[in-house]
Amino acid sequence: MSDAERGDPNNGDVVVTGANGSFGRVAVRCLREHGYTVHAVDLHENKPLRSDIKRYRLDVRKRGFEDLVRKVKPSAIVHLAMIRRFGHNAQERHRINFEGTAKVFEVGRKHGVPKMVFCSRATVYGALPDQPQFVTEEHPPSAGRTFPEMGDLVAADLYVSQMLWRYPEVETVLLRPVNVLGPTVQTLLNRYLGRRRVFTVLGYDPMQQVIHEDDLGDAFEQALGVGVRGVFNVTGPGEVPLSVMVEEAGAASVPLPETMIGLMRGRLGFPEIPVGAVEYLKFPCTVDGGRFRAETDFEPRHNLVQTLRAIPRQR
Amino acid sequence: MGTWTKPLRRSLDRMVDAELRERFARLNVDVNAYGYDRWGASCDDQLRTLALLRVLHRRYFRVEAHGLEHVPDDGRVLLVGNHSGQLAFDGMLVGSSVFFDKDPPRMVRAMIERFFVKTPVVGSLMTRMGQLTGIQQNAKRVLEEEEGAVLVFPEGARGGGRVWADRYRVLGFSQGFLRLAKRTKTPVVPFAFIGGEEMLPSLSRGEPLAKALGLPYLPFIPWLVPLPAPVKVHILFGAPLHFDGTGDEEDEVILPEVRQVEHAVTELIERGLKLRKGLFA
Repeated sequence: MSDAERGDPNNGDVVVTGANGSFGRVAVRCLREHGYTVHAVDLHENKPLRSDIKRYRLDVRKRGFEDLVRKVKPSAIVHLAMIRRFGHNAQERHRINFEGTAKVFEVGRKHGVPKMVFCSRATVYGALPDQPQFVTEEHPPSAGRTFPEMGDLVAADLYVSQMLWRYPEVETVLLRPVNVLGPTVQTLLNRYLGRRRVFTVLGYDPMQQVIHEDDLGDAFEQALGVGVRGVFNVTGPGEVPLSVMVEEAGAASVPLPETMIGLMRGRLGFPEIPVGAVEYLKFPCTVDGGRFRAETDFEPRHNLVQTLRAIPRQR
Repeated sequence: MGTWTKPLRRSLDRMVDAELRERFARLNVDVNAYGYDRWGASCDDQLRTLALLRVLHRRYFRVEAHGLEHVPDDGRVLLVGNHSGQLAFDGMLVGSSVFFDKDPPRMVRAMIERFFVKTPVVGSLMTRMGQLTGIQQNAKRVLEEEEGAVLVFPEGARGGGRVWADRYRVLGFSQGFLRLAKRTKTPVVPFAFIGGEEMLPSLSRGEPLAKALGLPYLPFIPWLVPLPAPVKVHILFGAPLHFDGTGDEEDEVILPEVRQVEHAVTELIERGLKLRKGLFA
């Protein structure tokens, strides 16, 4: 079906940064399907994408990216160029995640891009025993209290949210989706659940929220809607305890006392996770996604069972 | 919970009978495909807990509830009363009373001290049983979005860990519950819990040691083990109190209203103490 046949009034040129990352690929696929002309930007060589996607190998912090934005005059930039891996060099992470984000927003504003979308995470709120069970967007992102490695993501998140009042003429959308599960995404949680054997913290079984990667794609599309601006938690079909999630992923759960987890990380076939991430195995980091659903037409297409089973199962 | 609890779960499952299932079904709990509600309560675990609570409620503590007609059949309500008994038997028995003795039965969600939420096993169990972390936003959501019944002990850990010398004395309510009641336009049903002071009397809060161990209190129980004595429990519910306002008023406005609730609870305690004929009868 051609763009004209779809008759989608919103479609136009959209630049997606970090297009080669797992969220980027989801965004590129979904936006293309919704009739947008997608300009896929990534620092690394693009793995084969659909032939009708324009690909650019660019560093968002360099001149080439600005030239692209100047030339294309996109109706939106979806900024997903972030390093999510915690094992990565901390300085490089900060340069890309924080300074890169600041640069992309600066370029967008300078060249009059009317819509800027940034994908943060619900995990920026932190897994803390003293926060409400359903955290709203007004709650301060407090992940740094127990998970200092999240500092650059929290900083980028806060930087983008201040764009809302600094440049009200730009429609800034800051999405904070819950745990994204799916056959292609590569997140810490997907890597954790992808193990044959995982540890859990003895005596804890926190509630977890999940969203299917295709539903995240729909959320990106909804974020591009005219008039949509603000900070939004993005939730999927519901919440289950971690134990159910592990069971559905087909992994064997080994409850360990908290003190032993530090020793077992990355050993004996257990997943390698940063110390700060252990808090997410103890306390819920669950959010209220009501605002996004009220202000857009977003509704997840995958139910809870479909979402939890979207991770490739262990044999 | 883990595989090690399987035998326990199985024997509790055997205690779940038709009466329990029928009453539970009348609660109309909204659960997902895995049997959990959004707060993390599990139907199976709630039924098991209720089966156990029924034994405590009917046989061990022989709970007698008075004035249950004051607890509305539906719609939001805050149950506010005196806290006692070191462990949360008072909260559990108020919940079981509203479930077993009231028609139609209602589910009560109690606001749990944050310390317990952080404690391994205890925190998870509380969640599975449908209890809430003691944070106002959680209660507000249950009242406004689910028209639920929320149980608050505004004395908090001061009341829970009270010593024998302070028995049946209201130790001063904090204002949070009253502001919440005003914000959410929720009636406050006061109640008195009689028997909690004798089931697990404590002679000391063990404060220096408790502080060193990071505990809210460390009770000294004369018979050393935290096994409650089988005292007879009376629970008295009073007429609902209504408070108008936004909940953002000055302390000078709020405090007299808090005192009004304290007074209502104190009166119910006095009535309850006169009502009982002996500790075990």
